[in-house]
Amino acid sequence: MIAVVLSEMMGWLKNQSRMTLTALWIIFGIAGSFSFLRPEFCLEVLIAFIIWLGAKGGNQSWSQFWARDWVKRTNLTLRAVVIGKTLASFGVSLIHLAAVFPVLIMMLILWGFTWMQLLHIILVNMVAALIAIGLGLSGSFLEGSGKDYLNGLPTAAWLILTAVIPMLRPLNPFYTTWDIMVSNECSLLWVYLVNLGLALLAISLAEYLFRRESH
Amino acid sequence: MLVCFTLLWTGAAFPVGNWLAGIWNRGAEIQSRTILLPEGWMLTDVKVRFAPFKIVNSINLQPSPWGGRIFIGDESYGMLKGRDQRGAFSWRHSLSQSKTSVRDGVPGFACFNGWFPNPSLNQAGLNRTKAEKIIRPNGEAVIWDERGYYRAGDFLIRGDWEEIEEPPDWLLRENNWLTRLNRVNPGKAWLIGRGPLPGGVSKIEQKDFTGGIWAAPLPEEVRK
Repeated sequence: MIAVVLSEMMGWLKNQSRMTLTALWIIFGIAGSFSFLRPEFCLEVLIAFIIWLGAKGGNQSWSQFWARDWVKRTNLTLRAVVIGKTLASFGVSLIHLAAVFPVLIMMLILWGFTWMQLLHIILVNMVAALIAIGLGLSGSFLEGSGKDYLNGLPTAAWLILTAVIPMLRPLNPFYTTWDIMVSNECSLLWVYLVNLGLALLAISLAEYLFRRESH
Repeated sequence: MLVCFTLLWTGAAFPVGNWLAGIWNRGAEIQSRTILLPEGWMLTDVKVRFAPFKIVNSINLQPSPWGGRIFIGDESYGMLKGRDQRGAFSWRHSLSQSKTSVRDGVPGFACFNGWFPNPSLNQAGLNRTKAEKIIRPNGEAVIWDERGYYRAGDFLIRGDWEEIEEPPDWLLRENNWLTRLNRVNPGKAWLIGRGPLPGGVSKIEQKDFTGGIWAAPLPEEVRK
């Protein structure tokens, strides 16, 4: 599994790191300049980028080897490959969050939200990245079955359904981010738990689809 | 290399953020009205109005020369700092607690006033030279008494009392304030200007205030 993580991260570092980090800086730079670094706008842009990145990582966009190649060439289990790819993409998301962290600190100093809010924002981004990776992997395994158009379907379904159905809104990272910035007093523990549950479900779905594809 | 860059960049975020916060009022419209008092003091009344689309609960003015944090919601508190960065005047307002020095605080709006030492101004009474020094930074000043408005520059330099038919635009909106000034010093003339004043507070105004006006009672001996 460690080999999968290292290979995936090296693949990103060699092939895509400049592109994704530059894209992050350009997008965040434009959003920050346009909105005077207003957190309510910039943090939504950040979460959109992290979801895109997670989904892209999940889709194996920068992988040196596809999941099925790992299984064929090594004696790794399907689960180990899925978890390895998830961890690698999560690591890449964390690197992007770290790269933009100083700007978040400047935003905090300028606009006066609290450190606790900043912590929540980072946690929401991390959990959203996990969900996006799981759904991205699921999409990737759907694509493998010959239905290319299904690639981004799970991620799109997650974002649209949780935005449209009021009961599901705590599962929508855009809504949660907004909620954190506007009212910083509500308890978010259950939101994290439910979102982590969804992330687990998404990764399990990826494993199930991978298993189905392998047979 | 990425880790080193991130650590360095994170460390730099604090001074850079503080510097930015000190020079940038972040869309807040800050108006001040200052009355120059004898012996180098000044009475300042400040109104802060935040951008109406603001969602974040507070604006952090801690690193700025003002100090303090202003909350957009029900409560506001903070401390105004003088030139030496020591707190000169603290203020607090909430629904449960209100001090007389804070006039009002509603969401998106804060209003407070206080006395500041500014030794470079009016230390030993205003004379013509000192008045000229005060208006020199921008020259946008008038002399006002109940009878009319006069160009302060013309009077202070040449002793010329040239009446202005219409007061300047920035003073047209200040009728209430002028009425109050007249109550403080009935029948006397005032030197009224806008923009920076010499001394520490003027530096704050240059950076943070979008509109600042000031007034000083013009002694009889200066008028002669």
